[in-house]
Amino acid sequence: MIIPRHSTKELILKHDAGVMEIRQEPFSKLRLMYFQNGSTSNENSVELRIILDEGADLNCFFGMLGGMASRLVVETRLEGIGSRVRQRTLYFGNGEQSFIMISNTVLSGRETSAEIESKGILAGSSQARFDGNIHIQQTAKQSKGRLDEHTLLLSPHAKMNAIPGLKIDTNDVKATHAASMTRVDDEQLFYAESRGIEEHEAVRLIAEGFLAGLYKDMPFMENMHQLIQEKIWQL
Amino acid sequence: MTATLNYIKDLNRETLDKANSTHYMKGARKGLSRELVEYISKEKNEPRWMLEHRLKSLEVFLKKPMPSFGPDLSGLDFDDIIYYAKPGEVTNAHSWDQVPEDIKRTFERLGIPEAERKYLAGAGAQYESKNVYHRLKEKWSKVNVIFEDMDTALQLYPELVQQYFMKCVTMHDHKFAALHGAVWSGGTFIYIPAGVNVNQPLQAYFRMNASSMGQFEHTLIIVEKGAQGNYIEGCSAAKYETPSIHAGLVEIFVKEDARFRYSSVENWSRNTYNLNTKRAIVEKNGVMEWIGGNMGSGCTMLYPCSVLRGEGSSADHLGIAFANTNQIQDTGAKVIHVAPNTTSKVVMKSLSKNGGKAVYRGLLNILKGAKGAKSQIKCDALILDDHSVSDTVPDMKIAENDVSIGHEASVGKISEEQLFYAMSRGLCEDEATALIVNGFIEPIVKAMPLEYAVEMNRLIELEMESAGAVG
Amino acid sequence: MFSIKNLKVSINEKPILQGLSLKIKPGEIHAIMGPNGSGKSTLANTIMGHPKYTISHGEILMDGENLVSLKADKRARAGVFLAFQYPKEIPGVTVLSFLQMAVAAVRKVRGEPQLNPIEFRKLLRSLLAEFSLDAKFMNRYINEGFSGGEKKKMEILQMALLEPKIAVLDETDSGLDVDALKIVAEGINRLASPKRGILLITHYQRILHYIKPHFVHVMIEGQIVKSGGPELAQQLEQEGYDWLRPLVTPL
Repeated sequence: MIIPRHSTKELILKHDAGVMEIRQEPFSKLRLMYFQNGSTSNENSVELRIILDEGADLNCFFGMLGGMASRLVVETRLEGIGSRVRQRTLYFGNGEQSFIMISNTVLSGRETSAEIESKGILAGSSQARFDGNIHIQQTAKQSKGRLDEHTLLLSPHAKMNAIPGLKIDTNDVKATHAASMTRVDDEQLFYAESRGIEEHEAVRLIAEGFLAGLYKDMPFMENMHQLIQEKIWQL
Repeated sequence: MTATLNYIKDLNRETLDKANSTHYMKGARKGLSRELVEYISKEKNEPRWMLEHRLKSLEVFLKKPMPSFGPDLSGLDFDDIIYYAKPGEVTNAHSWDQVPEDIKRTFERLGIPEAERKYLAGAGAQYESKNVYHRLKEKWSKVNVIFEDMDTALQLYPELVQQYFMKCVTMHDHKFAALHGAVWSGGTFIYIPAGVNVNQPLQAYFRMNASSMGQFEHTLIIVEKGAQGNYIEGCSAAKYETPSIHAGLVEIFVKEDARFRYSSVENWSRNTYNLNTKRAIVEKNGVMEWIGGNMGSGCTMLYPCSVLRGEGSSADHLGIAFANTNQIQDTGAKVIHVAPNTTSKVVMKSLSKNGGKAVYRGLLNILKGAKGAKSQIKCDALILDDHSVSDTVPDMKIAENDVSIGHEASVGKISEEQLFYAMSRGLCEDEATALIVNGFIEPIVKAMPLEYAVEMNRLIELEMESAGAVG
Repeated sequence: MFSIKNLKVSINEKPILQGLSLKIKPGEIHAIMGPNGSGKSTLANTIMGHPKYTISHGEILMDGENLVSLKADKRARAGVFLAFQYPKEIPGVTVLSFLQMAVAAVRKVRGEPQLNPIEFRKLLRSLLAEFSLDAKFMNRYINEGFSGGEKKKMEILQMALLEPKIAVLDETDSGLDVDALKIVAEGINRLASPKRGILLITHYQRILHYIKPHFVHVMIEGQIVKSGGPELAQQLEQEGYDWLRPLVTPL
């Protein structure tokens, strides 16, 4: 698929999107959403390969909520000068769900920037793996890369494997990554309880808040919000 | 100042490598075989169980594959290596006069103690070192502390050694552990009895041994309940004799309420593959500290590992890696949280320059049952020019939810604002850079034993100056 | 109505409160003063039920019911309120949704009718205005990025919303400039009523210029060493705490 130069497009992918290749021509803007909330007996796999030309701008959001075994592979290559990507992945696992998410972002053009964020909640016996890589090549001078992976673990049986990788081949760049895995913060819980909110409710509130910041400026926010609320109510 | 700068410029790794070939291994065999292993054991007059252990290790080594990750090890030709040489077969003891001037001056510049210089130059002045060693030995034996070279320890305390030898890192762990199990020779044995606090650092160069070539040294350290100790391994100057592969093993047993710190600065010369394995098992409320600097060798794979097996145990890993021209420093830390309420902290700083490649490879494994685990990992990389490279590959496997895990990393060049600020106060660019680099590594150098902290700083200065302009 | 009997509290096996007793009747305003490290915050947090404190002895009674075995949310619903010294941020959770939930919980317990979302918004908006907080605060994440003054105002606003029987104010005056202090103090005075007990915990005298306590207690090393009327506060302002140290019973 080609996103023509100077155009602005919105693309919503369904959970049977399969393998897709996209090329963003110079100065095109693409807003891409992939939403997966299928039945929990399904297996899903989506692979995206995206190339960005000069000045292209990609804002993509992946919501991984459903399915029994889900796989998401996103490869983004920022080849054109000044191209940018903001990628956000949200996952919420319960029961026996498993999510494998692989995100590879390669910056080869000058002055490119990549912001890769992932936030997830794992409850029940669910498991997730987020393999995030940012590779800044030697030609990508003055580029910036940021990789953030944060997981809230709600159950002692949940499992998380986070591998945030930075591969930096030149020095005139700024690259950071941060990852955290925690359970619900005791002090936050106490604060909510001190306002009469019962523990179970408080956990739901905090869990919802944990994810809220990630998608608050996305269109279809209400939809997402509702789906997440539904999953939270099942906790 | 200029005279110093000049000879530093002239000093390069080749000088060290050249000297290597002149006296190396006349008559000693190359290649690995069952006969060689039996020969080694017989030469050392080892108990039967050790011979069996060696042979079993050899079997495992031959079967195991090479590691599937990390730098390219295809240059390693196992048949082209001398695994063992009798004392005398290696003319370790050439005189101090024969050592090239620039080597001597490097040692001087680095402020290395006289006795150690000669050891490092292979001038075999065990004389001085032997005296120092004997004095300290008397002091320790009064409190039943054992600090002996490994071969001797096996002879004097066979049951004690057998209880622990290769139980922390076993021959099955990986190919180089198996190799080590087959051909190990020399090394350090330290035993600190319960409740004893050895507050003076035990240093490797105290127990020098002419027969050891240093490639397959085995260090076994046992710290009994409530005891404390501190060991400094390695040298901070380029070792004059350069074996091509270094597959040593360090095993440390930190028992309940005990505390141990292991400091090392590894600085082998260019064509060495530094494939050491270091691991500590920490019991209840025990504390293990790893402080390391990795400067030399062509290719290093070094990931000190702490296994937090006892409740409330903790580990601190602090390290610096410096990758210069044609060097790959593939280092990091492995921490495995097994028991509840364990804590770990990892701070790693790396510098890469002139095409060097610094890689941080870490593993954090929180096993099921390790409730209340807390871990903070920080790895920062400074890339000093546009053709050097840095990778950060942390792997976090979490199987418990009652945990608090944080990881942060940043990679980049020296901040322009910092540089500008320093220069606006009158420092030239080189000075400003050096200042900032020092600040970058300061938290780690601060934790090093004083003599080594000074040497570390100078070593970095040396590396920064070598091969031309800074940055 | 509210009484603490011989409370002994420790944290990580370290004893902090050494058998503290206190009675607060409806309509009374009590002030507790003491030097740093005297255990004032421990008292406040223990009354609210912070899990990290262990009660080894004693009772906390609210209308005859012993709260000691109850979790914080049950205590809140029983009418206990704590204005935190360092209110916690909860990212992603708006002031609106947080308070909506809190109010719903407390109204349910009291058998009061629930407010529909529009009514609640209206109520919240007017309260924000009362405390000189911008209406935008409704959609901000609770305590995230709030200044010290804004946090304290938000605490008292919550008190106004939840209408507790007993309100414990933990160093509500710390870190406030004069204007913020006035607003906060006015808020507290508005909430003082013959039905409500207020326990004001403070290190400095300042807030007592605006809020007149009926009783003043001095806490040193986990004990109340002296109780008196408002003039005790003035004496402390002039003489400090040292003259009371001899009254501390050693462990």
